Amino acid sequence: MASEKKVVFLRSSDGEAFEVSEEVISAASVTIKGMIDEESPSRADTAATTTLAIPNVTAATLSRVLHYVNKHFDAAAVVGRPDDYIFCAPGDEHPLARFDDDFVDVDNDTLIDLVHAAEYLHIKKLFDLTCKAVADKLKGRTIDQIRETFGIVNDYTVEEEVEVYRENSWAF
Amino acid sequence: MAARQCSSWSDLQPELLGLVLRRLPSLADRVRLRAVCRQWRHHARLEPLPPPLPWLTLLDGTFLSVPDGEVHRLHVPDDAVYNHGSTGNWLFNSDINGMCSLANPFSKAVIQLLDVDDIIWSHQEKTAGCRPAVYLKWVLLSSLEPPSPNSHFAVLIMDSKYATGISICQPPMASAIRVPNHERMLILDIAFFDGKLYALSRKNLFVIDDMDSNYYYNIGKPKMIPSMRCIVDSIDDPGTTTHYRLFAEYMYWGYLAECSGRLLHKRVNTLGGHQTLFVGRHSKCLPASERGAQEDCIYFIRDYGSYPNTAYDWGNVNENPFRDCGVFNMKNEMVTPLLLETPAVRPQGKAGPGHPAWFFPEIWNY
Repeated sequence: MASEKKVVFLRSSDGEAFEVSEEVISAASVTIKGMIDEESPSRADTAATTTLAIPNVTAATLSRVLHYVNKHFDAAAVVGRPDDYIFCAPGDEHPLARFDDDFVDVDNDTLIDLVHAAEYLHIKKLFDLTCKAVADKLKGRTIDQIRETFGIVNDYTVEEEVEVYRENSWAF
Repeated sequence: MAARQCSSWSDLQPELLGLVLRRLPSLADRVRLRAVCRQWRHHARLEPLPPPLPWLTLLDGTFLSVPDGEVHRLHVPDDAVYNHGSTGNWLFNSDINGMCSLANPFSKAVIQLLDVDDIIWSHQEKTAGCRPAVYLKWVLLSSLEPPSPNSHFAVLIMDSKYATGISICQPPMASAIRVPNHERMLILDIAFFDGKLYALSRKNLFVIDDMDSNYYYNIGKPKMIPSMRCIVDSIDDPGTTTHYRLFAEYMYWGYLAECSGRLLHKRVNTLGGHQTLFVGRHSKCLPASERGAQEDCIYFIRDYGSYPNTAYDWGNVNENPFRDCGVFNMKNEMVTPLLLETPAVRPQGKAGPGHPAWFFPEIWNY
């Protein structure tokens, strides 16, 4: 039965193709489900597998995303009901909570690539997870720490900087 | 579309920045994030955000962010020694002589209100040598406009013998109208909701009639006398509600709170999901999702020890004002500490006793 499952190939921006179950990726990604639905009339009577170009996501990021998708959306792989996951706070004893913590424990550039990929592919759970991971990196940080963490240059003029500080000096 | 990888953080799309800001429940974190660079400052301005988590006002004019415990120092007038709650960004304060005022710690603006003596008791009571007010709760009688010197206010007053009264005033008039309380009901809380003033006693919910800004003065006397009309009786059957325990063990008072477009006046088993209730002199429900506050939880601050005849407790209050403050989970009835860690900074009471109160800052888009 498993061998009859439909698969699609996703080609990353740098040309690498990844195989994924059509059912799983359709459940995960609104964007890809839309692409598959558009394709389906033309391929209904052919046995050829579909290859979808994902021009906004590199192979490195796409393979991470698919790792996440297979963990979260493949019914056979998920322990417990997938929906249970959203009620678990970080640190809860849930296999996927642990997986998620590890998944976003990455460097900042990888994290932002994941945020963009999740947004582009419209994978809400992954998007929520990565946005929250970004927010967690910002909590309780000073402005200089935030700049340092994310490699952002302070581009204010002296006058602007004075204004910014004056506006909310209590927070700095 | 061109490949967009290795994106720079400062190029974070405005929508994405908004979504990250949304997941930062602390106002200070949002303000600092916004200030990082021009791009973010510009984009963050455009994003409407859910309200941040409230602060606790401390006795020395500092504010404590919940649950991270960060202490903020904002401008509070030197002579403000008592706090009587807040409305929006404005704190109701009074000085040592009983003069009440509103102060905005962000803009530093101050609006003079009335002398406590002018609000409190009727002329007869005043001349009969009334007892001093020990508890005031000011309520702005408008949900649309920020307070101004001409605003109308309601004030709940309690004296040292637990006698309560409600006065309606417009500060420039320098006198207040007392809402008759013929049955000498103990009023626990008042709230302005959907254009009406409500009052809560142990058993009843009242609406105050004849006070729609029309109590013009006619040779020093109001044309209309407001009155209390009971709209709900036999409010409480504590045995049937889950958070009975909270009130049995931690809280003495009863509160009115706006929650999802209705006014909560009794104990409930749930807040309908995705809501968090902050209970104190100024109670409010805020959406819980994505914000770090837990849904169907009640964030409470101890309410005993700051009311009449409890002078013995004041020492302890000042020693640890956060004792018996916590988060009550309505689903599992567990109580957890309000703050992640006990704050390093202890509030220094300027003059009188008091306890922390909720303050709901709204300073995003100014």
